[in-house]
Amino acid sequence: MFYIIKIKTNDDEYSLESYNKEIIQREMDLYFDSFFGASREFKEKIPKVSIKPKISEPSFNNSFPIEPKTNNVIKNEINFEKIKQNTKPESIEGLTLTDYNPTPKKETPIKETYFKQPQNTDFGREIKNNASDNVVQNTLNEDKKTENENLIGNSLKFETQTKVEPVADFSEIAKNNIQSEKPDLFNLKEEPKSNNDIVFDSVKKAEPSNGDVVNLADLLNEKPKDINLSSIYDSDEFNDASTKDNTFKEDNSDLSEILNEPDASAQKIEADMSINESATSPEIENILNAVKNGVDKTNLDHKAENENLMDMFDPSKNIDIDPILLNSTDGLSNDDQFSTYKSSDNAYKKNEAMLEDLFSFNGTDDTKTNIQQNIAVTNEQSDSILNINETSSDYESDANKHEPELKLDNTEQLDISENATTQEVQSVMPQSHEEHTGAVIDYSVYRAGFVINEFSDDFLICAYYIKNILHQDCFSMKFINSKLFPASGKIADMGVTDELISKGYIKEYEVEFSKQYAITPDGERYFVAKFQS
Amino acid sequence: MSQYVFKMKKGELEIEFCSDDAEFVEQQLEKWREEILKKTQQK
Repeated sequence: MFYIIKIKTNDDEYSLESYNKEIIQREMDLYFDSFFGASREFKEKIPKVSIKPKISEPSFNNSFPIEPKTNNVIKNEINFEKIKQNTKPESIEGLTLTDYNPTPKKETPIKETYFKQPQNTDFGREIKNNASDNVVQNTLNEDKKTENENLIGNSLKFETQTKVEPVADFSEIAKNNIQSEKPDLFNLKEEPKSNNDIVFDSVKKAEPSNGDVVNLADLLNEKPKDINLSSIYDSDEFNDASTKDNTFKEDNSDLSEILNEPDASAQKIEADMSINESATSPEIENILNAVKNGVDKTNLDHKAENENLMDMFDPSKNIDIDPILLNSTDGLSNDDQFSTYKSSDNAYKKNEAMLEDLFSFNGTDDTKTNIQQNIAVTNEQSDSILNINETSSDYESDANKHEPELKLDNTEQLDISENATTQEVQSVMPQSHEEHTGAVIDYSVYRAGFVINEFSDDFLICAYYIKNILHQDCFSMKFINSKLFPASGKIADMGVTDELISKGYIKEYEVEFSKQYAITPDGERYFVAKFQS
Repeated sequence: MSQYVFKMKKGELEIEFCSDDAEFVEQQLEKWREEILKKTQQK
């Protein structure tokens, strides 16, 4: 603990330092009484004797600078008197009074001086100086006896400073608070904290209350909010937002039904696709995907019935249009070509499914013939570019009227040509299709003309072969493996298809719980560039 | 270490008390305060 008392006047500044609390307290009481009692008396009590202490600590400045200025008012009232020489100084708290240097060093910013409190009651008692043997007696008036009697032998450190800091006028503060309650100025119950503590406290105070505290750890650990698509589809906001879409402006009133009723939505989207070519835009694709997902989620029971319609919603089909099919639909508008492509594509798929049913069917020959006739009609319609809207809607409306075996025939309600022959029916089959297209070389022979280094190339060649030689727009893994394995001895798996799909050479889509693949125009161009150039 | 500085000024005179003893500073200031109040009431 250290205690410093500084006394400042207009001309001088004195500093009294000590590690003894009692000394400081008495000095303060003395100064305080005079300070507020009579300034004149107080001035007289100010010690003007400085004694340089003999200290073992090297940090102390041995110079003894205290000398009141000549113009000092206090000096005029204080008489310094040498009372004793060669007096051994007293040591208090490890400090020893040392030399007195009468010439203060003005250059030193802080000059340390020590004085000894006068014995008895006066400041003017003997003060001992050890080094210089200068003992000064400060003689004051006799009536200025104070409590300094007990301070005999105590040495205090005096310090002079050239710097005078502006201070608050305590008298004004005292006047303002004189009649009031205890001012806050004196409330020092809490020990002030260091700067760091204060900053920390301020930061803590700036934090929100517990209810508003944002826990960073919670933020970091917080899982991202799950986007429940179904809830979005079913929400009013989504419906409202969807109805604002200009693309579906004509069907705004039914869009909510589309989202909630898969059957109706399928028809509605189908109509929009056939009318608006802008269905390839990202917005429409997103909506179509949303409807598709919503249908899959909300109406699992009708999923089988909607598979064909869902196929129409596949955006991948909207992007790549088979140029061969487009070539066969010269004279039609783009919309019609688009519908034609869909119709032909679906027709082939349905035919495949019907063939499977046909092979597993145990009915009579008449029934088989009837089915084959239907298949022939279907194939004929696909070749003659039927509109998928009609077949799909008719199929949807009348699907429940037929037996399960016949439900796959989406042309049941169309007029069946009685002139259809079994040859036409057999042309639906891939083998028959090959026969229909003329002499078709086997794939093993076809691939022999290419230098194949990778199996993916073999797969692509086979896909090209299926499309351009067998004239099948799509194929299943089972079908292409039936071509690949006899020729190459390898079986294609999902890795091969994924690789080609990622390259954009093969596209994939689901048809009735099975995946179908087809070579894309990019795949064909790649094939031509690599193997036929 | 915290340091407490208390200054009193009256006219040309000024007393500055500086210490790191919080308890002593508190006691001393309280004592001064009471003295100030007494002297003011006497006037």
